[in-house]
Amino acid sequence: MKIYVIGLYLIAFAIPGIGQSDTMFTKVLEPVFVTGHRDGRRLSTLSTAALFIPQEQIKIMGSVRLQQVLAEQNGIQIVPQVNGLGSGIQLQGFNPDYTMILLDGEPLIGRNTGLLDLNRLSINPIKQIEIVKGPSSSLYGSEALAGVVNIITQRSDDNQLKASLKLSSHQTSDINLSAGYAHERDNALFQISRFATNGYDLSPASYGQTVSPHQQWSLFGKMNKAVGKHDLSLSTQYFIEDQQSQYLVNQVATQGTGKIQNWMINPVWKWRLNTHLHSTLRAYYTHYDATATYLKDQSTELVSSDDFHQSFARLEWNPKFMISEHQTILAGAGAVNEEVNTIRYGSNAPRYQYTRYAFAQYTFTRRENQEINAGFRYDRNNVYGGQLSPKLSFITPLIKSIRWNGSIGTGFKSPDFRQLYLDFANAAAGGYIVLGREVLNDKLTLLDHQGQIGSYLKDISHEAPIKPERSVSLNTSVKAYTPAMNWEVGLFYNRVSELIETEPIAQLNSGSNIYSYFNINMVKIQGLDAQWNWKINDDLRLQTGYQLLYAQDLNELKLLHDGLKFRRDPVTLASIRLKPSDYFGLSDRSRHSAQIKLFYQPVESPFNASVRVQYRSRFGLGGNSGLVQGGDVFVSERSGNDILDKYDAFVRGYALTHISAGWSGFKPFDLQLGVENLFNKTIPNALPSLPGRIIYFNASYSIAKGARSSKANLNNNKIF
Amino acid sequence: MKQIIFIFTLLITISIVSCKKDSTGGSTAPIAKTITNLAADPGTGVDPQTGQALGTTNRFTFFNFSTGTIVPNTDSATTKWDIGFRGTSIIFNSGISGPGNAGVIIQNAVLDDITTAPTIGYINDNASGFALPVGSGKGWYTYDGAAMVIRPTAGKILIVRTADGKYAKMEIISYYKDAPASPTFMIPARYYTFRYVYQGDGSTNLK
Repeated sequence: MKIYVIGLYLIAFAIPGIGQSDTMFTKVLEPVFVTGHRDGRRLSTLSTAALFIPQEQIKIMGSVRLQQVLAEQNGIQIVPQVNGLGSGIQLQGFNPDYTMILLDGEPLIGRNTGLLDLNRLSINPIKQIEIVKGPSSSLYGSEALAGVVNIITQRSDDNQLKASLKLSSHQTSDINLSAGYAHERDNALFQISRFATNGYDLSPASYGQTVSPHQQWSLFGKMNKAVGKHDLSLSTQYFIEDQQSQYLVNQVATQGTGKIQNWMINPVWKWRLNTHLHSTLRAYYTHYDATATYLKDQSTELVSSDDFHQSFARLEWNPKFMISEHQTILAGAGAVNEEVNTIRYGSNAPRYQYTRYAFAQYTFTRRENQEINAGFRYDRNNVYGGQLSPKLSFITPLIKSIRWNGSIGTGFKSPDFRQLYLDFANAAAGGYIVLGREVLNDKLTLLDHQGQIGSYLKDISHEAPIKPERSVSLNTSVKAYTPAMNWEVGLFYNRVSELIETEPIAQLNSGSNIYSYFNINMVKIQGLDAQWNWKINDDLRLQTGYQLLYAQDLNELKLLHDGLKFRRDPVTLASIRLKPSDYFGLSDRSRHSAQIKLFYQPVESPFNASVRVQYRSRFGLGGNSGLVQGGDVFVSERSGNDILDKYDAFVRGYALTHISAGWSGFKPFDLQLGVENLFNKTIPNALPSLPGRIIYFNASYSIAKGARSSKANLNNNKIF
Repeated sequence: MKQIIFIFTLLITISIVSCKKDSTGGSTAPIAKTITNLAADPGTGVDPQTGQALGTTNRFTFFNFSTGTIVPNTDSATTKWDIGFRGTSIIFNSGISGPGNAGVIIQNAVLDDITTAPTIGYINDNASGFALPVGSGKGWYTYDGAAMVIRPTAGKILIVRTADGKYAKMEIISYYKDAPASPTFMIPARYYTFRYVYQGDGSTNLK
């Protein structure tokens, strides 16, 4: 009972406001979810689709990097980025840049042409990962169109010291040292970690490695201080990465060196004025630098260089009004200033975006598991103007433990800096030019004066200014939670319009095109997802997940219905008309994906183990998603018809198996041995981001001294 | 009952109309041919730095639909040729390209769909541009930047009026030597394979 009360205290401490709930005592063992409401909420009562990954599960999986943890979740695929620079997460069929990644509720920056390198995050200080599926722009604004991944860092609950070492294939090492302090309601946690890898090479015949060697250092610190009705917290992180790469730049062998630096500071002040009003004031500043130089191999001649600097500053105020036992209003107002400075935008002048926003979310809770949420957010931006994002969601019990929930909402994604300011001329590949919309007119006038433009392909004088991409989404699911089992079956539908794509606008005298960005496309992304988790006995838990996905371009679908899409007969090469049912959909999306995970974690034993299998069915690789240099690249297209149809070539479906075993018998040591990708599956010409088999060994040493036992916390966070 | 009569009448009308079409078409059946590996200034190789073709002559290869043969460059100022190929550029013997009256209509269809050539709507090569627009996705091909491959866009049928006013329909099926089903950039490019149907009697019948 003592442990139970301590656990209760910890959760109540971590999430101010939840202590109000009268169901607290019966439900304390359930995970508490922060993201959807910006305060604590039990997973089973959420009215939106969500995933929850507790620390204990991350620990048993043995993963050190965030990407692997996310890769094994239902509805998530790791996909290569359009330009081939690394990979990101595809959530419910959306490209990586449509999912907002938050660290303790604050967005991560440094999306290198749309991609956020998740490997920048060591998972060691992570308490839990929360994933909201479906648009969350009504709370989080731009980018939260597919959903939100919120990484919640740990608080120290003891005076503790922890050291851990992980060694794995490809001469990869990860060292962490952390020190925690806890006294009454105050606590602090500091961590230093170093990650280094030699990378790997899946295609030795071509120059350079598939993943180049890199080394990272990261420093993380977080402090919480409580004074009366006030909670103060301050967190800060500094990250630096060095890379050594070998690339062919315009067929010239180069030796590259790159450096990434990122730091952030995040003070938060929570004030519980009375039982009806809580106020949170949060400030956030983060800065990201990436530089790289490529010298000709065996020489000091500079072939290419790149630099990219971004900063993001945000101030937000969150009042929460608890009107009555049944009604709550969560409100917010904030300002974001963003700055990007890069040679890719032609000049060294910094570019700015300012966003001012306000949001409110009203929650009416009639009784347990029955509530309605209505919210909206309004964003005002200096470049693209105003955006209103409403959302409505509900949950209600059906019969027994079965609940039904649904939501309708809109999401948006603002044009990124690249789409606004890019000024890029590819001297090698035929000399084409890509211009951001904000610099387009000036640059075209200049080129015209220089007599370089041969002809115009598109009249842009009447073109409306570039707009954010928008989506309307419907989600509904039925779920049941019992002590031994929970399951959920959901449907999702997203209609995304005003998608920004490049289009040629003029032709240079040389014959090459000038491209810019326009709101062109419409897609629908829809599907089904299902989860079934079963606590077989006290020691054994089974988790399963399945997703069915259809992602289709609506413009292409119309052409198919009109009989205007064709393919080629593979033998005669003659054109054959395609039927709408021949359309497979957007590239890089598997129709089916599934996971089965078995976790063995006896209560009274120092042993734990897991076996996890993830599967994805066949998928196509489209126009620019090829990322391997040279002639070996996998190409789906067979007909030059610009769509992925069922007669194109597909990357075959595949399964990955991971195993891990841990032993904590030699206290205070924790030992773990595991294999990721047990059967060494690789597809070098299509999925270079998939390394082969990785064997790892993990050892950690921790000493804790204090009133609170961390065991209590762990028990509360069992797999589900 | 009314409905049945209506459908019956409709069917009869359709059959009469289609009979008419047949009977008013040309008296002779058009000839169908496939031309393979028509060299469109392939040059001597490829610059490994830029991927551009080397040793090109910058000359078009001229072709006559009636004879199904290549016309020498010395005849460029005559109406002996109908269509010319150089790299991805295709010209027609008309306007700025030659003395003839050739022209083209691009249709999204399969070859068999086109049974009758229109008599109007043909575009010439003129000062504002070539009849067949240049560029990926605009004319007859799509360029895949990742694979660095030119693919003839499926379903792009060229209805051609020849230099001397006859009609033909054609479909380009490959830009690479020996027309592989899935070409790579390693295979010699600028070799056209196309199939066409030519009506020599002056009628519009292309069935």
